[in-house]
Amino acid sequence: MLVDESVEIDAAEHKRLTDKAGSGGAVETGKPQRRRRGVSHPGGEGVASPLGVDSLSMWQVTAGLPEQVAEAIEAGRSVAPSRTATRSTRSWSSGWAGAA
Amino acid sequence: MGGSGIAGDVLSAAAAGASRVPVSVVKSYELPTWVGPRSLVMAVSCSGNTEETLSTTTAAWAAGAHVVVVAGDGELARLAAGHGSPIVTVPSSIPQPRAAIGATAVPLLVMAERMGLLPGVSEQLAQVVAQLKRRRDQLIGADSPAAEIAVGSGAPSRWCTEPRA
Repeated sequence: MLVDESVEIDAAEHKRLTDKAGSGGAVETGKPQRRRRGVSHPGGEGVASPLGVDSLSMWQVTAGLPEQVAEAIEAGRSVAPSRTATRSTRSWSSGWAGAA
Repeated sequence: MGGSGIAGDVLSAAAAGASRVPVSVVKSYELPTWVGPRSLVMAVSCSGNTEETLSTTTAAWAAGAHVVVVAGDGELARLAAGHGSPIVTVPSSIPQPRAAIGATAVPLLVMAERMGLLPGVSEQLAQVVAQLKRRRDQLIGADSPAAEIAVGSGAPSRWCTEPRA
C-alpha cells in the first residue's frame, strides 16, 4: 500500500516511446490515423462546464497534489475524536477513544 | 459516488490488509441495514450535494451512527453542522472530484489510523508526499520525458466524459 511501484525506463525505452508518440502512435498497430471532422470539444469552456476539461487547471491541481495531500493529513488530524462519540454511551472504538 | 467515491475505495483497499474492522463502501441511495449506533459512517461528497450521499448519511444519522463528513460547502456540510458531526472541508479551489483524491481519501486514512485501525499510515503518507514532489519535479523539468513527448512530438491527448460520434 502506498509504496513507490513506479518503473524506471532506460534510454532505449525512452526513445521507443518518444518515437512512437512522434509517429502518432501508429508504429505498432499500423492502423491509419483518422481525423475526425465536425466534433467540437468544450474544453475551452473551462471546468465550469460539466463536459469541459480545462487542461491547464487540471494540470495545476495535479501539480499541487503533494501540497493537497499534506494539507489533508493535517485536516484528518484536526478532527476531534470525542465528537464522533456524542451519540453513544460508549466509544465506537477503544483505539479511537484513546487517540491523541 | 463518482470521483468522491474513490476515497472510500482507497480506504477499503488499505483496510483490507490491515484493519481489524471491516470497511464497506456504499455507492447508492440505500444504507446497509446493519449500520447502527456502533457504526462509523464517513460521508464523502466533494460538492456536498450528491443525492445518494445525502440519502445514506441522513439514514446514518437516523440510525444513530457516528458520522464524519468530508465535503465541500454544500447541503451535507450544513446537515453535519446541525447534527454536530465533524466536518473536513474539501477546498473549493479543486475543480473536479477526481482531482481531489488527496483531499478526500487522506483524511479517511488518517482518521482510521487515529482509531488504531491503520497503524503507520501517517508515515506512509509522508513518504507519498515526498514521492509526489519528486515525480512532479521530474515532470516539470526542462528535460522531462513527459514534456518532450507532449510538446516536442506533438502527441495528442484526448479526455472525454462520454462517447462521442
